[in-house]
Amino acid sequence: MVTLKDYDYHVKPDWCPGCGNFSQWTAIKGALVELGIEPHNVVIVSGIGCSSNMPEYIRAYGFHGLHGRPLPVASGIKFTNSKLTVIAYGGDGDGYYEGLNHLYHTAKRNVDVKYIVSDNEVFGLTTGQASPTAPLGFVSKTTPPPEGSLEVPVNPLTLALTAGATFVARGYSGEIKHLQSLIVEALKHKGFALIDVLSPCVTWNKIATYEYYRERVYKLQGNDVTNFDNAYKLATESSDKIPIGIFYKVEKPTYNDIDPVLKQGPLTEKNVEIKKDILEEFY
Amino acid sequence: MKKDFVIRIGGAAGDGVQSSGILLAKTFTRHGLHIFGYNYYQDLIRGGNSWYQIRVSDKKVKNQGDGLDILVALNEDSLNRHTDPNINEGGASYLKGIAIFDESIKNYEKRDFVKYLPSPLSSISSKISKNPLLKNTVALGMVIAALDLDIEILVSAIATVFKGKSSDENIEAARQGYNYYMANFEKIGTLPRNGKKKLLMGGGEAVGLGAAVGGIKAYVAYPMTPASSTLHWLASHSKELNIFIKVPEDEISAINTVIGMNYAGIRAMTGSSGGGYDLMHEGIGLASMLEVPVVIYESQRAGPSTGLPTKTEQGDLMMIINSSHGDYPRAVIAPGDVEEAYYYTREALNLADKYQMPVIVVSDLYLSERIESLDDLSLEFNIDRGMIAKENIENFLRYEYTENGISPRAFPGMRGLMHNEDSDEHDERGDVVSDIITDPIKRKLSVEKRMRKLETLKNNLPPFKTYRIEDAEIVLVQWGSTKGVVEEAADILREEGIKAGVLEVKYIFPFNTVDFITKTKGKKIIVVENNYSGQLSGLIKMFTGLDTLKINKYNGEAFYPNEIVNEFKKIGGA
Repeated sequence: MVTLKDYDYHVKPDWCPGCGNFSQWTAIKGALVELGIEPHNVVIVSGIGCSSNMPEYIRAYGFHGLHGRPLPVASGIKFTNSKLTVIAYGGDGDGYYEGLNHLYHTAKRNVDVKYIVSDNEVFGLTTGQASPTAPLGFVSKTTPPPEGSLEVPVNPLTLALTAGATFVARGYSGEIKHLQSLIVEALKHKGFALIDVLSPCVTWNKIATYEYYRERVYKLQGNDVTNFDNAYKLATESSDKIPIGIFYKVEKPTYNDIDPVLKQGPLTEKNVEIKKDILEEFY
Repeated sequence: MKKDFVIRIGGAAGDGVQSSGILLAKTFTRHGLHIFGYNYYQDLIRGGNSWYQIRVSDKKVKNQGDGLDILVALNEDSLNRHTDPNINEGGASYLKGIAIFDESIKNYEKRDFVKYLPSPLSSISSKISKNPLLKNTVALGMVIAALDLDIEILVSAIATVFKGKSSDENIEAARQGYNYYMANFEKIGTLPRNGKKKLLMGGGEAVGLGAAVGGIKAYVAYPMTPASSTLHWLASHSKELNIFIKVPEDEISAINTVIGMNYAGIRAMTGSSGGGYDLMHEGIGLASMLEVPVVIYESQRAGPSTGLPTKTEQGDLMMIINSSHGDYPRAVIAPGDVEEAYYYTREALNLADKYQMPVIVVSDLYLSERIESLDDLSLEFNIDRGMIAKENIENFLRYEYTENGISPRAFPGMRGLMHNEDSDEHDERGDVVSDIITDPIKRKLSVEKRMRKLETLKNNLPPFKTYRIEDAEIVLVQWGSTKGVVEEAADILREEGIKAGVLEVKYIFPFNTVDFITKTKGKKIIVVENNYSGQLSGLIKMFTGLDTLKINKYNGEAFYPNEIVNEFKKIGGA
């Protein structure tokens, strides 16, 4: 039986006390244990940023790559060995600025990787500059007052829906059990899953705090997760009431299911056989 | 008697210049003859001036060749252009031989060194079919007759290339062209017919085949000329070879995807030209830091920026050797011809796995888009996956500080070997030493461990390949695609009494300094390169301290043998 201890690594997180990433750390490990997935079959791939240090703190296979690029790496791993559980992980700067095009295309392809984004609306590791999800008017070192941020924030959920993601959810770091249940559902889902996690940055973001979210967050219940229009509408709800939960979930073939080579099984188990007649076409 | 002929088919884009050239080449190799084919074209789909040159001989031909014996002109512009003594085609010779063209072309300047053969190409073809390209095949039939070759072999080549009705029409066109020539003109030479059939292969195809035999299970790449010929060949063989092909959203995605694939336990490759490769730099550094093997195929074209998308240059060498920030190990290999493109690509895959570092195979348009005849290729190959750990090791050290720098890999899915591979500096276990407390001692050890792999590789490099160098006083040094043309330049110089030889740099980085100094000792060194600044020449100075003379060409076209000889004389090489 798999227990939390199996995922326990001797290196411990160095996030600020109270950081929302701790809840995600707990919820990810909890979800893997809940589903009885063994650590050697798990790969956690991340980009760069505070949250992206995650694979350093979990006893599984970890890949801490480049800023904005966890999804291509995760896709490569899943294309190679479909038996693995592949979790891509990073922050909003990593996934919605630097690597946004990968999100669109990975969702569109329905690659069976689970993408969890710790969304705190700032660049934490580089001292709190406004990120692509920072609200209009957000003041930071790079967006000075009085104007603050001049850009309309990215809405990751509508973007993922538009791209064709088959599983779109939003979690909140202040609700660990709920978050864990979302991750469990994402892991059970066959196909690409995005979980955007509202995650307070206790050091740099004095607006989107635990208190702020506590007053606004509510859990979705009884929504028809197969209804695209409804999911889209929920994803654009105003900031006074912030729904968390599964917005959208449908079954579609994954990229590994439809590719003529990949659908025959993991590439790791295949031997490419070169027949002598390969040279015939050259005569 | 002359046994070496240069044939050029000239026309506009969309005229079927290239496909006619390849069909003719196949006919030659099926006769057992040797060929070299080179495509001169522009970045457009219709119009302009393009031509395909084939050199054919009963002996191995190493380049597209000086001189021009047969011109097939598909339009008036081509007829005038290729008979002009002031020809401006980047080094190609003007015609001193026969010109085959449609009799409707009347308006051309007559040269006394050209034998004009106006022929009813269009009227023959229009009686067979409405397809305007059929007249090309009529002309090919005439070329076969001019060289005293077997029309039945052209017929068999047509039957392979075309299918159904189109095949029948082309065969008829070829026969009528052949008969027309036989009835009206004299042959210009005789080539032997009974040699053993040769392989006909393109440089890009050879890289693809080398990759397949080298054990890749995936090729992930974004299209870019002239690297696309490899992607196309692999894609068209994907199902038969069971190789996964993916065109991702960009080259950044391509390199990161193949790094993920190699990390997960298979051989996967990517490729591009300079512009796409530029986008991969950060990923190449990542692979080196994580010690994930990856082979990248870089086929250069004339730059910078978009440059000349359909023209050749060797301008990326310094960029490739210096890809990505940081001080890290990588290997750079430059095959010199089609055969080497095959053998060195598969060898690169072994090197990458063995040394767990990025290996870049450098080609260029001149090599990737040429065709050559080959006697044979060996499909025998030992795939060496390098050092892989056994499952369930307590305290597994992914980056163990070993003497040769190489440490055991472990793939996700293997039991008891879980570890983290990190773009941050890390220790033997893979744990980061850059965050909470920077550990200068471990940082130093980790850098040295990675760099030791480069030393190990350097100590195991093969000696440089050479050509007629033993008694040479002049050493022409070349790298990559210019191998054959530089070898022929040395032959010409020797015929003129100058003792020239060639040193061929295939493993460019790391560089075998000792062997280079030994082989060039007491000889004058001239570095021949398809670039302006003499990038290899600069590297030689850096690696060996030796000064060299330089011969450079950077007008977008490949070298011709006599061009090198003339340049040699200009710089006072003798």
